[in-house]
Amino acid sequence: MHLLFRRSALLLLTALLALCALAPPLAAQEVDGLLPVEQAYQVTAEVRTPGTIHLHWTIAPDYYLYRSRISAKASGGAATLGSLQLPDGLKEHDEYLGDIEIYHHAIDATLPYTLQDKNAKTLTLAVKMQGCHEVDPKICYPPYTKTLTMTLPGNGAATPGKAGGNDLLTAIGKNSSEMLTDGGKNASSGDALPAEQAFRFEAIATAPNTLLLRWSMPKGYYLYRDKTHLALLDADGAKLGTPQWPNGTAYHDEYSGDSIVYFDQVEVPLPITRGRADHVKLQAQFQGCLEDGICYPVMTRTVDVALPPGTGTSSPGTTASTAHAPAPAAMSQSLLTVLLLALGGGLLLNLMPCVLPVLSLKAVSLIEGREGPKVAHHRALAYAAGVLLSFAVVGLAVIALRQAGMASGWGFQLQQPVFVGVLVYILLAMGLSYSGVVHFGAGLAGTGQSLTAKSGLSGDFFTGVLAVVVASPCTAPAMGAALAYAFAAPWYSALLVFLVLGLGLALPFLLIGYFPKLGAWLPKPGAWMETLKQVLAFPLYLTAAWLAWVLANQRGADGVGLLLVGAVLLALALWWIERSRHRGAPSKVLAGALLLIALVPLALIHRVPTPAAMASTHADMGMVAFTPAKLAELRKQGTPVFVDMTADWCITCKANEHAVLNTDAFRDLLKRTGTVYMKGDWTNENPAITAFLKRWNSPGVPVYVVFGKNGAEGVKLPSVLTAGIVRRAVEKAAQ
Amino acid sequence: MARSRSASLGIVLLAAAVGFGLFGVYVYEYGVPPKLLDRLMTTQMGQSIAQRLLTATAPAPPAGVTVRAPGDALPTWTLPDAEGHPQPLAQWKGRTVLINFWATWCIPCRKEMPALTAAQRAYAGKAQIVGIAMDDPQAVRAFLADHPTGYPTLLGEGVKPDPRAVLGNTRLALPFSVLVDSDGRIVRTHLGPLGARQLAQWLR
Repeated sequence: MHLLFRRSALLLLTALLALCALAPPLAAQEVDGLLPVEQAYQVTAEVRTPGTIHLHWTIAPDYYLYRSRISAKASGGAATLGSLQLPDGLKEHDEYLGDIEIYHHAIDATLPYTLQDKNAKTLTLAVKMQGCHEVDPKICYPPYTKTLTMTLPGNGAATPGKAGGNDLLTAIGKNSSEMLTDGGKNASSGDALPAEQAFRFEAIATAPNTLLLRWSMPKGYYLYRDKTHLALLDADGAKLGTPQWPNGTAYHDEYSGDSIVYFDQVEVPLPITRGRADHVKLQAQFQGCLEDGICYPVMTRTVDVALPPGTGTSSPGTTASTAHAPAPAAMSQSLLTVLLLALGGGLLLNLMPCVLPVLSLKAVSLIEGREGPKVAHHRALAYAAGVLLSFAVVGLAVIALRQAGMASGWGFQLQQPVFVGVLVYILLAMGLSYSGVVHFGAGLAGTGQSLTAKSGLSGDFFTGVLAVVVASPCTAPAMGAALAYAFAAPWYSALLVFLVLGLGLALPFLLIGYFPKLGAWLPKPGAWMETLKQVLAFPLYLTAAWLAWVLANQRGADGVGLLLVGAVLLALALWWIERSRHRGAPSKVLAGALLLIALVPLALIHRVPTPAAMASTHADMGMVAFTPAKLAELRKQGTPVFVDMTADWCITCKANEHAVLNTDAFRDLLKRTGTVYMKGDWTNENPAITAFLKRWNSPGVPVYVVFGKNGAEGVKLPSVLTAGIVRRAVEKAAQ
Repeated sequence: MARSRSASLGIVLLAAAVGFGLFGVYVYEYGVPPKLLDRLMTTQMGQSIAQRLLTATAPAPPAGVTVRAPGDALPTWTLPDAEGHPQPLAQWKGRTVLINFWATWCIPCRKEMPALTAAQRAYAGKAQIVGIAMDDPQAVRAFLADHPTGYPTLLGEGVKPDPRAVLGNTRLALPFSVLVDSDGRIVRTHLGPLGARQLAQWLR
């Protein structure tokens, strides 16, 4: 019986570990397999200086391209191309193969061109390439042609993705309105345009976490809303949100029946959760038609978008730190570090008040037991098997939960502000319990001690199980960290983390089983355990603080404010729960009610708009961030400018914004008079704004100055605005 | 005695567990070591797993193309040879036929060719190897003049629908081999170069 049990325990242990070790290679095979050709060889093109196209290939590891098989052609004969300047590749000579030259990893090449049409604003290039996979399966792809469309510089057009901030916004605005009139001419001349000319696609970053997509079509062409697919290539941790489509036109055609379409131009804000990326490669697939004419096949365009650092916008709550949003931090840690942490965490669990008494009692019985060393080994193994099995079950349950959640589109990640909020609550509750504000699972720990009294191998096995289950109030923080990791990591590494955590928990007993002398090293339970527990509360608080910072990047100051209020309410509720433990029912009801109230802010966090969304409302108004250079430029152009100096902490500014500046009337006024709304944010010290304030004899904000048409001198407005004052001043300036 | 054996068993077990774990981490971080992968891939089981995986992850065939799976009859293609004379594939019925899709620019294809030539010589009476070049006819003629193969080569470039896709290779990747039995039924397909050992297994 004992032998049988020992064998099965051993078998189980090895099987579990073998599973963990074998899962990654198998899964890696599955994931890698063979890449689709467009992922194996990614190519982008860009014109930085007129006359030269820069081409860049990114070649996936274990793939290569043949130098002699790379060629480029300008589509439609729009340009004469020079010869492609490729760098030296890896040269190989083989008696059978002859001379070949291949490229791995990346290629940078240049291609001179001469335009046929001097006024062309875009250039479309067909780049043909051939390459192979150099590890098993060693195969070659059929010739692959990638069509790239570039915006040409020098005609007032901006190269997509090479500039950031608000001036670009105006730049592409100008560019595409020119395009629009051009296209209109073409459309009236009869035939349907080539897809590249009919559907122009651009994308820029308007804020660190918002992209603005723009489709421009000549008159009569339209774009389907629901046939558009957006994706990031080589995302580097970045993720796309849901595009915020404006209201479109309901339209009926023979090709796809009733659908929502857009004519002329459509601008779509697209939230993006950035990882470590400072630029993203956005791929858009879309379809559209010419009214009463042809429908185009699926068009695919790829644009490179540089993401500006967080300081580039004037939206409140975004700070410079946004540039490196920490959301996928759990993923960026190397697995080895995580495993070491898990092992350490598992070991630490042994010292927990709910585990150590159990362990000590078992260890003493093991050391003093008369069964002899062999039985001691069996018991240690049985215990370890019990612990590992429980952790494996927990891990598998979490993974199953995640898979189920993913299947139903339940984005359970750190990027979800509500999930971050829930984690903060859990960490805070655990921390408070460690600090002694509240005691969870007091009853459970007692059960655990009575169960240790059981003897026999099954007793040891179940002690292992129970060490996990019964000690859950203490193990939860370590579990919580593993859980957070499990939700972000691939399933096999998540399972590995859980098992290593279990190994850490089982290790002391396992070692004592084999080396009874180590038992003397086992600390005796005592008052120090309570101190340790209280000390361990602080790392939990720190983790909660870090998560609050994560939320700040997602939802700005408003979100963090809500979270902090919720945290205080939670502390209040937990404190009252502890006090009501020995009181009557009304007190307990009150505790429950407090807990419910504490959950309300959590539900509200979801509704707080992202800082990016706020920024985009500014962009809608055509707002321009204040810089002295920009102001000088606008005045030189003779454009009337309304300068608004404001700060988050300035109540008068907020009142003015609410009453006058954030109204439709003001927006209409700006539009009607062609006035540019320029806003300076003095929330943080800014020398340029300070100088401007000094110039207008003002020690602080708000300051409103209206600069008239044709570079006329500015007029300062009173610090409390009314709609009338603003209207008169702006109308006068625009005359 | 018994005690020390048990203790060493425990240590071995722990060491094995740690070793397994570290190997798992290594594979996760750096991928399967290429040498080990090559070793695994040359085993029959490794090959069959890999090919099954490749088939499972292949993209869907283009519209209007019906994929012929193993067990189905080979389509009755007639393709021009390097000199331009039409050659029906049915002419080799009665023998085991190995169809090998290749191209002159494809290094793995070219590395595979000596093994194919040797196999054709070894199984001359029983089996017939037929190369189908998915390449420019002129390049193929020039290449064959320098590197005679000892088995016929047909030109498959431009045939619609692409015979590779019809035979299940929707990636259109090269080299690609298809084994057809003497009744003209597809037996199996293989993506990637074939080695001498595998060819012996296939054509025996």
